Amino acid sequence: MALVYWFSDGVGNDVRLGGPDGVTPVPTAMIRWIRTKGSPALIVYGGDVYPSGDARSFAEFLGQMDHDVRLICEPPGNHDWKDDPTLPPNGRIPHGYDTFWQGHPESRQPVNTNKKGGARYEHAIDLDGWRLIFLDTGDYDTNPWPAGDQARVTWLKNTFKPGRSNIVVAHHSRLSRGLHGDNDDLDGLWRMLFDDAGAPRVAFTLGGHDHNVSMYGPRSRDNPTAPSVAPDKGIHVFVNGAGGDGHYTQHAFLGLGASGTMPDIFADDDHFCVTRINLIDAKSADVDILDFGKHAKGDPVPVAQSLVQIRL
Amino acid sequence: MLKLHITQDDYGDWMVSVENEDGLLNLLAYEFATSAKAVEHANDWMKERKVQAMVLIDPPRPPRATRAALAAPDDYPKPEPRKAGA
Repeated sequence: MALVYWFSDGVGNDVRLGGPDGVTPVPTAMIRWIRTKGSPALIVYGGDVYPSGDARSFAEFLGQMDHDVRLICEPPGNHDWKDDPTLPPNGRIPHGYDTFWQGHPESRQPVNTNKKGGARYEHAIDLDGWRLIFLDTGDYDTNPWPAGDQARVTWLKNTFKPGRSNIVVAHHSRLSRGLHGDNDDLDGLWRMLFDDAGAPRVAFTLGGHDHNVSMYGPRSRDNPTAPSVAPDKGIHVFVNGAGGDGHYTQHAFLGLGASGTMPDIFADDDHFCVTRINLIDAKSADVDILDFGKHAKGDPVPVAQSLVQIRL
Repeated sequence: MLKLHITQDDYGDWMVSVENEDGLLNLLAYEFATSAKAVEHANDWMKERKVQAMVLIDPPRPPRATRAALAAPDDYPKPEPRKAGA
């Protein structure tokens, strides 16, 4: 058994304060609980170090993590890609992100300096019979994955384990409900998570970006926005961007409010949350939401209705 | 023209409300620590939705956000949308 924790969209400058004393950054309160009471095997910060992923932003992030990133990896977010000078011979990269993680080899976030662009940050971690595959979708607005790099497609195809004990992790999610909504430009990636016959190769995806929580039942290759399908025909989608930087509404309003697919398992747009993934064995995993409330003042409350039991 | 209102809620947190041409108001984003954060998200929203809007920002109330956060109940409803200057 291994416990993995995900939180996203909540570190860097000017994030929300709370904790027991009212002045602790919410992500710090979260990470302290995870470390002291959560028995983590891996902690995924799902991306976006505010405001722009530069060196100053990452210095703030390191302080908020109590100067300890040993168990942490970070798929890049769009805000990390705001610090993006082109640096030959590496191509356009998120510079502050690249520099920070290269400087922390004790972390779980590698930087492959032999590659260019987002491929530098893509990797996989095996835990208790599962493979977590981390992709960089942070440059979505400019160059959606794979950003014209077919080597990234080949790498992903070759990285899947046989069977379905794969989890795909990225900042952006194919489905999402909020001010951003569904990320349609990831449809090519979504389709790659199924085999040629439409059978899933992945149990679920993890993402953030919209600052709220949306959990979806298994969705099909060809019509993911349609209602959930049988578990053997689809992939669950879990979104949690409620990591400490405010919230986005999930309510529509005359074309000016939230967009994207409404979640059918669980939705929350008002609390700060961590996603807990309990990898039980190679064919079993439980996923649920830990609700830290408005201020992360104390221990989180596991949300019963958010619990999804994956049984392959 | 659309208007985006950057205001504070009862506990000092910043939020973004949108007002359409008919004067209808809706809450978009909320519980931000600073007005700058709310403005940043408002700008991102306009860019992503490809809309132009007038952005109206309330001056900050006296800095009692920390006291307000400590005094706030553990759970309270989402704020109602607000117009700047109201």
